[in-house]
Amino acid sequence: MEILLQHLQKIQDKNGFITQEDIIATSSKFSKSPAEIYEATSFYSKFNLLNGPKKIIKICDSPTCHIKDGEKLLGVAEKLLNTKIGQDEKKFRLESCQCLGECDKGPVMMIDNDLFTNLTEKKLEQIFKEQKIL
Amino acid sequence: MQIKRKTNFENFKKAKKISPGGVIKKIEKSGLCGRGGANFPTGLKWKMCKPSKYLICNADESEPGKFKDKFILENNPELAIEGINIAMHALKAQQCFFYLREEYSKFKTALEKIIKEKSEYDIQIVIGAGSYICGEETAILNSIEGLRAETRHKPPYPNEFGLFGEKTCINNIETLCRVSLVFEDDYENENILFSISGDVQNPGVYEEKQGITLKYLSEKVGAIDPKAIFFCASGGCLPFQKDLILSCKEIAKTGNFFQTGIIFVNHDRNIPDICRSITQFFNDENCGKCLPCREGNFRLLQLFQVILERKWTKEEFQIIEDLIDFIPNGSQCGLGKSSTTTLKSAIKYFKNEFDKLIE
Ligand code: SF4
Ligand code: FES
Repeated sequence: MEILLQHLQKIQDKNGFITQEDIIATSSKFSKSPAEIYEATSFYSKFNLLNGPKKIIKICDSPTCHIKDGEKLLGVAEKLLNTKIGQDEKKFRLESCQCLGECDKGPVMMIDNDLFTNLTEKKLEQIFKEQKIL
Repeated sequence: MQIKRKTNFENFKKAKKISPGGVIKKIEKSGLCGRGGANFPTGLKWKMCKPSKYLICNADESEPGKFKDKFILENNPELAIEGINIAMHALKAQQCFFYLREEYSKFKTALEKIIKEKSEYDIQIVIGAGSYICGEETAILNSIEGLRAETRHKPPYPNEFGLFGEKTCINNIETLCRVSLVFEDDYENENILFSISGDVQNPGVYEEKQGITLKYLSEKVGAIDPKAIFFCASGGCLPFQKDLILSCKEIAKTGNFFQTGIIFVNHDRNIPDICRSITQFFNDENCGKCLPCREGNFRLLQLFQVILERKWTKEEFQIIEDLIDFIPNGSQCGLGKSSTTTLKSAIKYFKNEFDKLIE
């Protein structure tokens, strides 16, 4: 059975974002109105309905990572990348996110589909360099 | 660990020799209860669901402090698939959807391989798209149907009107693993998976019996200077007491809700600050359907952000206390109803830390 969520995942993974055209094409595929597809798409945090492909950097600030200084790391990341949480930059967007199911290895971060655990300030800078964000 | 046992689908063979009704009776007799959090007796659920068209295996774990589903997916996914096969047989179901949270999509290939090689039933993997509420049993239905994952009004319950309007049974992945283990000779019904995190030397997943003491657990995981424990984000919190018994019944007596994810917190941590992060969690993850949950948690978060700058006024703290009762009373689903449990017990047990923040 073709599931809408999976179809959208494919577009998101391939292009890094979902456009209005994608929504219209999807709507005819699933015999729904574009509004219905948009309504569903906009609910899920994974789908990027904004402008253009970019790396999404998510640092967890749910309780377990929070006590391990997840919030502080977000601040460090803001400074390093010269951005604000949730602000769209050309190449990336930094986000504060909720639990990634890796609480025993906190604080953790995901850049697109790659996971980074047991973060420290130093490690953060190094990863950003390796990922060519810095 | 029983959960790591390689059963090689022998238990499914045993189950197939028994009638579907017989399997349900066996599960009922074993006393197995759901491991998704609600603790509902699995045999009884199956009795109410039988026959079902669909079975949903819920592996959308996203509660902060819980990572046992991931542990199963990493260590013994075959046991889950075997459990699904037994459930499909017992429920006379036609199709299973295996709902994985997005961050666990790396396990998809391995799961598909097991399904192809071993499963007798059609199991389709569905990957979520980053939403905590999808773990709720009616939100998961909407999500699979391609709708916003808002919860549905109950009744009708999924066993009457579930996925695509058909009878549907939803079980947590650990529950389905235990279903298979029930067919082992040395099955232990009290075994549960604890997810341990926070200020400990050895965080991770432990299989222990319900009813162990906190002393035993804290020594085993190497708790460092423990001040408090949190039961995930939604179960509440308690001051560290060695003789505390970790079971549903005992924890309920303290006004909290037993969650198997336990976060240890040391004396350097600030309890109201942890509550701020919990409030942020519920503000971000509620589905937005009911006003008390959506706006109430937003208001709470605003009030918690105040303490980053200054102290609360007495009136502000009064609003917090009012919201603690108002939100659960007006909320439709478990998320809203439990969103202030931890804050309530934090104020009850750590009042001095809150007092310092009031003018
Ligand atoms: S209580 Fe909250 S999460 Fe549950 S249905 Fe209402 S708004 Fe959604
Ligand atoms: S709290 Fe950060 S991964 Fe769970």
